[in-house]
Amino acid sequence: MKLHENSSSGCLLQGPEDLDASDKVFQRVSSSYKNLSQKFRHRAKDFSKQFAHIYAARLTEQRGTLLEKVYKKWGPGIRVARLAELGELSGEKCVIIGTLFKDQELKPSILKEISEERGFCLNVPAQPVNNRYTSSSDKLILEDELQRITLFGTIDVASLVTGIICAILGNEDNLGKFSVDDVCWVGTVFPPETPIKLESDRFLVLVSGLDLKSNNAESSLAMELMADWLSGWIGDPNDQQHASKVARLIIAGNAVSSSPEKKERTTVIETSRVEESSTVLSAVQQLDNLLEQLVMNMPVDVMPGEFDPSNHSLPQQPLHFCMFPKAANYKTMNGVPNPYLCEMDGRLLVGTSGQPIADVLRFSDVTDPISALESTLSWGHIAPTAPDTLDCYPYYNSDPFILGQQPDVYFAGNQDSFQTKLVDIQSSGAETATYKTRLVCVPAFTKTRTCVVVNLRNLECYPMTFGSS
Amino acid sequence: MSNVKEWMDCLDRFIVEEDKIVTYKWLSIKLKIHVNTSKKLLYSYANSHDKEKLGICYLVAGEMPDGSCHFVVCRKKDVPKTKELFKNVTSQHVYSIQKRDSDADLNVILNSPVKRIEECIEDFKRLTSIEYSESVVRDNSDFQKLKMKALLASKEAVPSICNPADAVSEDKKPIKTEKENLPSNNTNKEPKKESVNGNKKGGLAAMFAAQKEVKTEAKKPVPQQNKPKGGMSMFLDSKKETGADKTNKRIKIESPKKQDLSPSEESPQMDVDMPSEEERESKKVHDTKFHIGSKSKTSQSKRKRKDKAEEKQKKKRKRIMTVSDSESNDDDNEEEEERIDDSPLREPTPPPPALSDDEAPVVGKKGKKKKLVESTFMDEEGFLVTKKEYTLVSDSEEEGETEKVSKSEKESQKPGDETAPTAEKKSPAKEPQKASAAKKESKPSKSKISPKSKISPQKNKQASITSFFTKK
Repeated sequence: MKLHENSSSGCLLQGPEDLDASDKVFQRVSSSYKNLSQKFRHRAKDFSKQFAHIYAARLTEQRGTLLEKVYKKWGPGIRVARLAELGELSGEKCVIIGTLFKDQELKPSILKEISEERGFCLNVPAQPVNNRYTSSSDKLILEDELQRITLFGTIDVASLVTGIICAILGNEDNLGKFSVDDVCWVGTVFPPETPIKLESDRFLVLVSGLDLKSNNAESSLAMELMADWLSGWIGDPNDQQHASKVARLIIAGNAVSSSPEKKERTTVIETSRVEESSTVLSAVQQLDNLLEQLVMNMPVDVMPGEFDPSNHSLPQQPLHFCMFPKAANYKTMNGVPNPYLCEMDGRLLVGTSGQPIADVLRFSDVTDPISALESTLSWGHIAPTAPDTLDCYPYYNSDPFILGQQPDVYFAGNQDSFQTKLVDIQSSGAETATYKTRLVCVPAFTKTRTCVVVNLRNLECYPMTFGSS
Repeated sequence: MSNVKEWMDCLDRFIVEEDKIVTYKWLSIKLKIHVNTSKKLLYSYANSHDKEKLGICYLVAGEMPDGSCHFVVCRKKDVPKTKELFKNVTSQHVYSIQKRDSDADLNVILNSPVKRIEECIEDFKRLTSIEYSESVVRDNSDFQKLKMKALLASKEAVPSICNPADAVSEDKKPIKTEKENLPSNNTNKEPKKESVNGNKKGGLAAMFAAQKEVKTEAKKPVPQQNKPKGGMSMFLDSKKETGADKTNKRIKIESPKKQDLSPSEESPQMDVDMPSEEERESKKVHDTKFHIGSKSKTSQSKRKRKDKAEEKQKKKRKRIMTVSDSESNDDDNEEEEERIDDSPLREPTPPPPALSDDEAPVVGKKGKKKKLVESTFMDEEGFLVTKKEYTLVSDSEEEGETEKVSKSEKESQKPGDETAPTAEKKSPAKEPQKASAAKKESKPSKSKISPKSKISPQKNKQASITSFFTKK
């Protein structure tokens, strides 16, 4: 079904005698679109607040949802206690709600670094060279508004990370630790109504990590092919018709650059500085050219990525429209923030440029990006490790990274390879309805020359690769 | 089909004569034909020139057995092989033709024409097979909105960033930005500039004519603002009688300037008149000021000392200026002033030799002392950095002199509302000497310039530094 069923390839392998037959012009589909990312835009930047407020806001905001799930899962009679009340319960079974904190010895710490440098403490384990900071000695601690308690028992310490809100069923033991029997995650809220079913195919294309700074010949040909495909140049008429059903392209981060800029200390600054930035400059110009070709023909959302010229901490603000003087001429050019939330034809799309997933992978034993993505969905939070190990803005009265309503498409950009999974979440409770979410790990284009096509009608998803043999 | 014939000829020309790598896209744009027509043209060309060793690339697209889709560009000879990889081939057409087949990397070959295409991006819309009606060019109002958004964002951002307790940094910022416009009142170099400024701008004459006014002005604010000035103004009244007055007047002229400077009324003038050089200069002054300010926060006395030191410097410069003034016309003076402005900042001000000679014996008591030294150097990033530092310097004659002068100045200020004579009395040790020195200096200058104008005396005094020894 992928490209088209009636495989009539080869109609262009003929002379130009029969001009009209193949010179069809297809109308690109248009879809309803709503940008719901307003909560990720900074209105005022206030960096005076402490990060603790995010956790507080997260806990307050998610407690309600979590309580509902707790009563559904363990029955309405279950006792939900605050940590401060545990003493009175004297070991009775109960549910506690709070934020997980994973105590990790190997977690990079500036204090440790300094003390190592100065040779203060010698018994500190060496910082791991690889980018994974898990060890067998990791402990989980649950914090509520007032207290914390160490957890043990049937809870998978290694796969969890700091910052997850959860409810835990169990009892306190003599030593003041909490023995875990079962865990309930926040998860997501079901959408109030089932979205309008699309009658015809409508595609969303996801691409990430174009990395124009790298100036890789192979990937720039592939990029050209991709742009040609999207804007209807390449292929037989049937393929072109297929391409005309692509309703939107989302560039999920690292379009300009996918590696940190090398900070070389040079002696003659004026010149070297210009040089350094000019690689980025020319990359932005190339991106502008590429975008121009695309936005003439379709709506394009550009998300900033970890190494793009935007702010570094989440939520990353949209790349400024002045960076794209040509592409910004079109209304179809759409700068969007990094966690990105929008609605297309009734489908809720949520995605990031990949930093939260990478961070979860660093601090848990999860190796598969797609399962990390799935975990964040079940935890009900886009970026649980922010602000602990992931830079983020010090929000203090709300946490915008909470996944409220369950998305239809949930993607993470800049992964090593393409991965996808259709998650079927049963709504526990009276209705037996299930709700499907398409999880997509969008591969970095420079590495794989692959973009991802998602059919919004049925959430089917497949990769599309470009290149030369 | 005459068109087709024409196109084929063109194609032939492009490939054979111009030796181009002709891709379907490039051809489509070049001939302004639909992209699929272009593909067919290329195909029929490839077919009809089968025997020649053309380098032909094909595009093959289709579905792989694993469900993924691929678009692959390959050489003609590889087409069957490539097609085998696919479960289902959906597209196949000529991608490009070039004169000679080469083994070079396809990525490299095919990258080149793409760049050229970018120039005719306007044709893209018409020739492609997909039309999109909603891609609308933004009009001006849209852009305005975008800009407003961006502006608002930045405006909101800035104050709120500053709001947090970073009061210190915030304080610094405005001052820094306003350096040129609003010199802080305690910069000692500013006044001098002002006076120079006045000279330049209104012409010496204007300034001089108004000198009396300056005097009176000075008198008024003096009492409230600080005593020293009051004292000085008194001096001024009697300036013509004694040499001591002269020196004091010099000080006085500076001080009113100081007062005038702080209010913003003065700033426009500065903006207009100050040559860029001076602006830079003032910046430096401020920067250094900051330095000192932060250092001196700890103790009042320290600050005073520093002020003294600065005053000292100012003094020196004043003198130099006067030299130039007395001996040259206004324009010269301007130049002179600029030059002077630069030099003292970069290195410790060389005091006028004549004076030092005169006063050396008196000052000599100190062995070593702290001295404010300015050093300018290029940092690793290539910026010129001017630093003011206190260093222990063995007391040379010149330094002694300057020190003394500043001290005497200080002392002269102390008396406050008292008249000049009392001030002198109160600081008997140093003041007399200074006064005498000043007397010597000032006399010639007075005779020269006083008829003309009154501000000049200040300069004349300095001018006289060189001249009065000879004359006397």
